[in-house]
Amino acid sequence: MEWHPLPRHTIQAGTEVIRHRFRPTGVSTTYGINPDTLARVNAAIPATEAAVYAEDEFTVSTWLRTNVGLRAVAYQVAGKTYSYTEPRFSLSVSPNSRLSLKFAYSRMHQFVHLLSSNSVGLPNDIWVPATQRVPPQRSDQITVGLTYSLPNQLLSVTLEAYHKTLSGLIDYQTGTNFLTNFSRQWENTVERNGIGDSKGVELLVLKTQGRVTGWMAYTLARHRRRFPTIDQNRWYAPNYDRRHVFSLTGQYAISEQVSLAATWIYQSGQPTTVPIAIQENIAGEATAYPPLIYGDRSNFRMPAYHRLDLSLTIRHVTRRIRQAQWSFGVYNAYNQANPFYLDFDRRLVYAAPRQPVGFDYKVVRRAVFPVLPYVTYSLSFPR
Amino acid sequence: MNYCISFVLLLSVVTACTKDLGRDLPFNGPDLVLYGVLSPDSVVTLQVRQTYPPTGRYVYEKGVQTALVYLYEDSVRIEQLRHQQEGQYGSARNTKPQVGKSYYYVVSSPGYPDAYSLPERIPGPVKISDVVFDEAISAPLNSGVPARKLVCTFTDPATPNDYYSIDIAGYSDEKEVAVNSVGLDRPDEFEDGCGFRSNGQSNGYNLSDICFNGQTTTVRVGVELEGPTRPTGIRGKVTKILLRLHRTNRGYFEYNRTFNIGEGLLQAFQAPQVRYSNVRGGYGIILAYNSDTVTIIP
Repeated sequence: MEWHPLPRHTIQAGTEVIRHRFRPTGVSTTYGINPDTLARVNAAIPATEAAVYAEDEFTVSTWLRTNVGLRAVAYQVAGKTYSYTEPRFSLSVSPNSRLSLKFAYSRMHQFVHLLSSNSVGLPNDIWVPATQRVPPQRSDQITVGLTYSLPNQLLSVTLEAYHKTLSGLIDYQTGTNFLTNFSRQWENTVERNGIGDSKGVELLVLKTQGRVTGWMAYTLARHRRRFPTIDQNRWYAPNYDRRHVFSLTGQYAISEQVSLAATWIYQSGQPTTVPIAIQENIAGEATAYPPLIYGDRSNFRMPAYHRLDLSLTIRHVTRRIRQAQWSFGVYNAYNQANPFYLDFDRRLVYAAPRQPVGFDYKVVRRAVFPVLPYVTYSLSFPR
Repeated sequence: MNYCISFVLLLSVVTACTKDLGRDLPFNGPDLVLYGVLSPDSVVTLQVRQTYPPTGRYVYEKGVQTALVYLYEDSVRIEQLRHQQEGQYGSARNTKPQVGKSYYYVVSSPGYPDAYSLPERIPGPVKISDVVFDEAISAPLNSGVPARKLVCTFTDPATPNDYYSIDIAGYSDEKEVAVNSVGLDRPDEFEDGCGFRSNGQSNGYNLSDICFNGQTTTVRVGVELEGPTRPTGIRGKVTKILLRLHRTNRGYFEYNRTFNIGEGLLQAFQAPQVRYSNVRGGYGIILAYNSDTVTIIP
């Protein structure tokens, strides 16, 4: 609904209702598990989310605009209702046509949680709902930014900084994940009441005109979180934390029909949790391998991720007057072995058959998608 | 899960490559590793070992042989244990732990941070009240092998926070047989708070009295009556079974529960497992228990 009560005010309001049906776990087995237990583990979780919102966009003058809004949201799951109000505010100042400044604040609640593995093994992300025992998560974010277009209008520069605080986070308990602890209800494998903190600066330089176009983007960021029950309440980095993210994309138009493009991407390594020591198997346990000793969460960073993609695009018009395009390219042009995940190469040192007296362990990176050439052809049909 | 593994395998086979990480993982040690058992049936001994870096090639040292190992009983230092061999320290006075008293170790050695264990009280006696081993069942793992259901009954005292472990050992004319057993109360991979099968001790079944405090309870296990004898590996018929019931400290239960077995592909899905330890300043475990053993002739 949109309403214009006064000349410089635009009020928008609305409502939404979402009916969710989550099923985070689906275990099937031929083993004689008590049907009640299996039904409990596999149970679907129905939930209803309802919200009403209103915001007023107020054009104070030609150079100053504000937007003030409020959203009321309720989430009902298993007889428990969570209800919140979410204020939001933004201010945009444009002293001239080249420069604009902005400030924004918003509070949001999210009724699904992302659970990410934190070990050296295969990465896995799972979305789970807020439930009676797992409250929703909340974020408060402040953003300030400026955009400046250079006088000749060929370049525009955007600089933004943000700070987000998070609460109501969940994460895996130490030593658990869904894939190896499927026998437990997922709510019993997570820690609750975590807090988080994200801050960063983003720079974007954009060139949209001329034979050479493209952009350069750089983000300097830090994400961290902590839980009273993980690592004695010390901060640790979630696995999506990347200190530096840089991308450079350029296109060169050789002619109207032919263009070259290149993209280079660089990201700091992903945090992960690795063992800090090894001990002998002196208890005579059923493995030849010595047990690993783990320390704090996210105590190691994988090597940085980077790759170069190149492409040549040729456009032409077919005999039936349709736009067509050939693209020849190569993904990961210099065949960088970016780690998909880390793994252990484990060997034992034997004094005699079946008598291990030591070990030879090393960490290897498993990489996928080496250099990949490709060809694409696209044809546009006029409407 | 199967689809996920299949997809990952396909992806890995088609496009994957493996390269050395090119650097070692950080290591802050070495630290002391203590491993000991406190039981009224045996003289006090303690294994003192060390940790090793998580990456690289290492041959185990023959224990830490220069440690000072002190044993405390109810917070009073009662003895310095003597080094016996290859990092094993023992009581020169043949000290055996006493029921109801608590014990801990303080260990120091040049080049290592000092380590100590938390006080562990020796649990009271426990008694297997009944054993039934008559019912023939189909072999749970090796088709055609004779197998029987073992039902062990015991009574938990009214005190809370008791833990138990049942171990099954098979023999063929005094040679140990690697018998296969399967828990019949819950799937082996299933941990429900009441108990679980040990991954590290393949014929060990662990229980917490949280589900039967002060009551009589039964444990049901399927046992195959044939298996490879040790050390030759020649298959033999089981002519004797030793059934041991331990009443243990919490550490015994937690140490078994947190065993990190991730082998092969499962390792790729394994979460970082922090092994339970009641040692501070180092690693390892001090197990305390009282036990009862019944001999079964099938």
